[in-house]
Amino acid sequence: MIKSVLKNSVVRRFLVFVSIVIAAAALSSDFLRIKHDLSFLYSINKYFWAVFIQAFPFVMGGAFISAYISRINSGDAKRKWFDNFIKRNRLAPFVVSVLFPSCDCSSSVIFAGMLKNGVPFSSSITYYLVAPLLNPIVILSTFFAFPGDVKMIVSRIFIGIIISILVPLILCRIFRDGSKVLIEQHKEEHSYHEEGCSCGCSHHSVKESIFISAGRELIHVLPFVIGGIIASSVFQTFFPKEAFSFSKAGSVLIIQTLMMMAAAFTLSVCATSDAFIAASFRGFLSSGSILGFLLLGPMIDVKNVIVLSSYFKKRFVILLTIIVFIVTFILSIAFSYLIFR
Amino acid sequence: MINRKNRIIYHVESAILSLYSIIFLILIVSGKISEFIHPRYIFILAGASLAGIIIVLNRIKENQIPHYHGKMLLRISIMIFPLFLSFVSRNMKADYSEAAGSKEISVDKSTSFGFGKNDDILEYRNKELIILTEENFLKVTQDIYDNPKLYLDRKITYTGTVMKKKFSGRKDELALVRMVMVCCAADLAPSGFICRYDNAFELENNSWQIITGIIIVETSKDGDFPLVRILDVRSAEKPEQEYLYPF
Repeated sequence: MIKSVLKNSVVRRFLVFVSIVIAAAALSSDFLRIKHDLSFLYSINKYFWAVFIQAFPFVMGGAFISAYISRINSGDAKRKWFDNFIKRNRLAPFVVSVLFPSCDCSSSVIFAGMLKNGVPFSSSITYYLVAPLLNPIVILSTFFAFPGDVKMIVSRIFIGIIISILVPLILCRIFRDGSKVLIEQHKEEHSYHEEGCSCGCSHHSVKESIFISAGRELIHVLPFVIGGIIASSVFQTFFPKEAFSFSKAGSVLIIQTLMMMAAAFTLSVCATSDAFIAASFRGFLSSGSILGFLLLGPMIDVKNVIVLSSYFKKRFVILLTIIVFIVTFILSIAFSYLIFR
Repeated sequence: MINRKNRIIYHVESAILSLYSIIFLILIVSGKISEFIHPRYIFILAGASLAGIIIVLNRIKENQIPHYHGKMLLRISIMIFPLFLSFVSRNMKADYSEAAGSKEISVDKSTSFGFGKNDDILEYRNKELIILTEENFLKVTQDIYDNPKLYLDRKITYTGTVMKKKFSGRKDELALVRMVMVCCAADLAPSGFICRYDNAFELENNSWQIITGIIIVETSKDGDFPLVRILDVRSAEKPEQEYLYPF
């Protein structure tokens, strides 16, 4: 009897709901008398809101840029110019990165938007990797965090550009058809509607449809952004940056670099402020390992991996992460010997 | 039935987006936003929040219910989880010794904010009593760390929050710091001095105090390190601008 009742999905869902309500009530009152042990929740909450509030406008901006790209009609002069520019000009991703600065929160959304709308696979990856590093605020913050350290500032930009060229070259060898890395749902969705198309949707003015497309994009990506930030908040609470500093002076450069890259990946610090965190490691960690931290963080981290997985197939996200990690590691070590010794 | 379910999900998503936009606008209007992000982001956040509301209005007008597939309940749960988290931790208070990844941070490793030497600093080097304010706190503190011997035996007074950690294991030690925000509350870092005070145990962790003391210098294998020997301490009100912003 009980078994048959429990098999009912409505009953099961109701029980889960009741359990959640009881847990919430217990946590929010002194019922369990363990409130003092839950102070980590405050920390997670504070990290989360700080990063989420800061990321929200950039994710929104990314959604609008993505919507704008998709809204320019194929017959439009603007579209032709944009297509020619980005498809034929190898420098286009770098120019776009400088002209339309974006940070790591929005670059994933724009990356997917570019690919959906026919921008070449290699250019899209280059833009995704290099945009946060060429952001003027990121460059300025590196300049302030490493005053007078021209090597570090130039290395971050220069090696970042090299990585953004090398990684697409490798990925294009693995994925011959770039459009196949997108999850089917995104490939098939109508990115824009032309008058008289047979999609069955109602048609709106350009402004309206940009808001509608941006809204869809934003709503789609929001749970992944929130999930990514929650994951990085948990990491930041339980593994503060000092946890990664055990590989102090004396240990080999390789271990230090791996540790700092692991820190960049898990902490998911915003690209605009990571230079200051990196600067606090100066003096007891090698410059090469700090460079690894500065390069990897804006390109790939826990938050970005979760957001990317909402648009791209798992295999692509995993390979992108691994390749960026390996290329960054090798170049950080190599340039550390060439420049910082 | 499917249409009804899709319609509910569609409106719940719109409601969540509008809720976040409204929360951000309330935080901006109430001034509490500066507890979370650097003031330079306030305008773009206001713009994004208004855009969020316009998006929701467009969604209501559009009323084109998509065919949802996948784990929609999970998506919605993740979207509302932060609200639940805030509710649970609403009565908890900030602990600067634990917050912002500063569990083991020592003030001597405080971040350099890249202030160069200028005439303003030279003026402080010659003063008998150095008064730290929100405007000069970071550049003067950095200069004291860079040139501790120039400030030896000078009097200093400033307001800060008490951070009790074991710096060198002495019982008379505490740090009086201001938290510095570069970008958002996730990168908060302490700036200030480790202080020596016989009655350190009387001062509560995270309480706001105004102190007057003398700068002393300790030398170790890592070099000279400035500390403050407290002469006078009084409790202070939490400043209107809780955090310091280097730029």
